[in-house]
Amino acid sequence: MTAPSSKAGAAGFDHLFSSRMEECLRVKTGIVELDEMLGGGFMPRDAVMVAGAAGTGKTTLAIQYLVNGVGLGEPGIYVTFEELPDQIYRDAKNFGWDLRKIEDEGKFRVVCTSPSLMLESGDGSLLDDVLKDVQPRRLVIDSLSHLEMFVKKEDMRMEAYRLVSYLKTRGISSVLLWESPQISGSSFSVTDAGLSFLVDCIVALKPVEIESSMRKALVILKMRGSDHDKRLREYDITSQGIAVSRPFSNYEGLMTGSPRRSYTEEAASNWARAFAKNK
Amino acid sequence: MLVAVPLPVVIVSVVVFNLILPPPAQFNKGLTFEPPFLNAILYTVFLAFTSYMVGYISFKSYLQNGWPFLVLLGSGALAWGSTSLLSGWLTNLPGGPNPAITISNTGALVASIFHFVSSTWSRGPSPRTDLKIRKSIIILAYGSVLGFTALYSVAALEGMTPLFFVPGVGQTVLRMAVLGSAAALFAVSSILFARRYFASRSRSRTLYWYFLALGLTGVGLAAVFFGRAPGDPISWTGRAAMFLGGTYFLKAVHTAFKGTNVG
Repeated sequence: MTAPSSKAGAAGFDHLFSSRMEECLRVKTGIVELDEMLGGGFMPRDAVMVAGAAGTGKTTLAIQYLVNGVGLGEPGIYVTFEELPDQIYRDAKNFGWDLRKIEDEGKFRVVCTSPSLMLESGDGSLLDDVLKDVQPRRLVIDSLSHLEMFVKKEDMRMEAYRLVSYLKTRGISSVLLWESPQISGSSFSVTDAGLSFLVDCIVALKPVEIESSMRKALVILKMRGSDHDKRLREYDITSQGIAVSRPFSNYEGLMTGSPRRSYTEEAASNWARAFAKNK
Repeated sequence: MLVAVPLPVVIVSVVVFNLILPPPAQFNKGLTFEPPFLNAILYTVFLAFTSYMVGYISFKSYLQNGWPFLVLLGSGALAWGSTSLLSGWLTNLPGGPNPAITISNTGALVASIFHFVSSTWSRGPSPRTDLKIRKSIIILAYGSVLGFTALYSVAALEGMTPLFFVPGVGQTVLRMAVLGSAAALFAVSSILFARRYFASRSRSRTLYWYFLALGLTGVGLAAVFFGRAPGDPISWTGRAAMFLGGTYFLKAVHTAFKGTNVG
């Protein structure tokens, strides 16, 4: 009688052990609530797309991901087609991130280049030297939208595929930023260029208008090979970077741009608040 | 304030009936009114349905907010509703009312304990627990309450539980202890929630109706405690208070849905 139960116990332990191991292997963003949504973090070597309209905090999220990675012993590279390094250092400083310091320590690098140079190198080999130098585990491309301006629409998918493959084969977990005004209204596509299929995970950032004020919503649209939180969560850009808070549980239709209160969720919220102390 | 009037009315009525009705040993059966199914229907509508509504909204609320006192509140409501439903339909068994009384009174005690603990609980830890864990916790809690109700009911019907009521003799000491404790705990819970209501800046209509409902339930149970026999005027006064309490529970849920939560 004891043998089956001990087997079951061993199986349970194995399962617990493997799930803990898997959690340890995840690439943590360092934003606790976002990591919870991702089941511990991004999957190793995954290509992640962070999509959102201008001003939603894509760059902030990306730099926070790299800075937190350095804290976890994972060097990172930030490739930008948009801003000059000084501007990036200054903006990061406002969030308390001293990029120059970690760059001097050899754990981080800002690469400011043009999309045309990147494309001329073919598969991203423009980065070979800096990759050898920094040995990064994480890399951010800010942004694919800029790359798109230099490529014919029909070629964009192939160029993005080359870049993603280049980073994956080097064991790098990449974050690709994409300016995506389409995640609004009734149309719901992340990119026109069909890039959604190339990436393993999509994190969408979206401004939403609720009761005449603009708030920000974050949702994980896709995550290959892993379960994840499907709920829309509110987030804010604070003086310490991105802070993810509670789900928008009282509202429906946020993604379609027509939010309305969910009566049951609203009632459930009222119910809890009615009985809670310290009001 | 008018909605609080039934509380003293019930107390005064019970005192008056207690004075004018003969003691249990000389009590005439002709003074009882217990038609078949009436109790069952009233218990189903006013106690079971209303309690299930409280259980449902507490379920949704716990999943959303993760505060543990909501599990206790919902479990208490579920225990009260389920045992009321069963006891209502088992009142007129050929073997006598003991199983129904046993189930009803024990359910009342369990529900009152849940409510008492809930009323003393603070807001609780930050709701960081994962939704899946919350779902597991509340399903386990509700499942345990329903499982206990089912098992205890079978035990009561099989005569495996101690006697609560002996026809022709009256209630046992055990019943007095169980019912008395349940009534007292409901009343104390009502007072604690009322204190929370009056102490808060945002006086919630939901909490207002809820503490009155608990008060009426406690007073109703106390009235039953003084009853001579099931279906006598004191029992009906107590039942009426509990049915009104059920209506107030429903009103509490309604105010949460309506959104006019602050009074």
